[in-house]
Amino acid sequence: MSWEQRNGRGEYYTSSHRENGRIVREYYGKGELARLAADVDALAVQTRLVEREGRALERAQIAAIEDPVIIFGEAVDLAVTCELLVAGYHRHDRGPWRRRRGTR
Amino acid sequence: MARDSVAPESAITDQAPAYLTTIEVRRLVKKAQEGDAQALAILERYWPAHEYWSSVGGDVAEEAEAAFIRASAPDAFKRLAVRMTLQRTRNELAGPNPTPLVRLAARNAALCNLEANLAHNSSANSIAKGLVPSHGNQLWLDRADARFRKALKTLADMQRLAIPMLQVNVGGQQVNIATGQVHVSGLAGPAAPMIAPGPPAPADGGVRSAGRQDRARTRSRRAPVGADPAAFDDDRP
Repeated sequence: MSWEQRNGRGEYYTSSHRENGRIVREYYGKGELARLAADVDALAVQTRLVEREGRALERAQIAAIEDPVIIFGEAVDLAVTCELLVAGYHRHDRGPWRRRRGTR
Repeated sequence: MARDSVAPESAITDQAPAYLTTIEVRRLVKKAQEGDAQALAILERYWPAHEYWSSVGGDVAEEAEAAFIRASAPDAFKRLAVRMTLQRTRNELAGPNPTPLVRLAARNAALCNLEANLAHNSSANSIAKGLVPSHGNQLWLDRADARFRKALKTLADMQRLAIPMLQVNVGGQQVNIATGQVHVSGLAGPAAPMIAPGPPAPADGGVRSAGRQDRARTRSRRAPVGADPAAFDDDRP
């Protein structure tokens, strides 16, 4: 999406987009239609930017809630696993915890 | 060398370590789970469970709850409400006379429960406004639900595989001391001492750990809901 200048004959507007894996460039000339197309494209860019910022903000808010829970969960898992191993339990292939044979 | 057992540096020099670092514990647990007997032996020898829970587990729990409350509630009143809900939920989940490990697992489950509720509420608010919940929100909801299920399973495992009680003989009379009596600072709820008279002491005296048969007997004597507890107080084998 850009205003181009060729051979010093004023600016004209072109817009590129991908179609079936190929880059296709559309030429809008330099009249009213070109200005309208440029405005629409600029608006789309702005919308995408705002949406991206919104998603980043949402991700940050979720991470602020989620991260401490994940860290605590990992610490609990480690403590539980360690305690059960020491107490003589074992776990095969993510199955249930079982007491080892021969241990009391 | 990569397949060798992991040993704390202090163990190599025959000095008792003050504690195992989290990284050391993690590596030892991994080796022990793969069947490395030496790693398991080191873990048995150096795993200072209560110290670890109080220093690492307790701190992490406090930090996690504080961060969660800060992020999930905008004002002081709502933060208080979240804190009270957390406290009530973890006490309910832990049940009476929980072991330190059960208390820790219950605390984790309570936190995960609140997080899952928050994710569901966030999604429901979007739907109430006529909006489709965002993709990020739906992914969070799935993750939070999975974490909550896992935390509940861990808690259930801990309650099912209760760590054996310690039996101490005092004046020829055997006394069972539940591990719930060990108070760990930073963990949920005050420690409730539970001392119950047990069967007669073994002839040689001393201390021994209650085995599976003792626990099974205790379970079989448990009174069903609504039944007269006195009827189950006898000393049936």
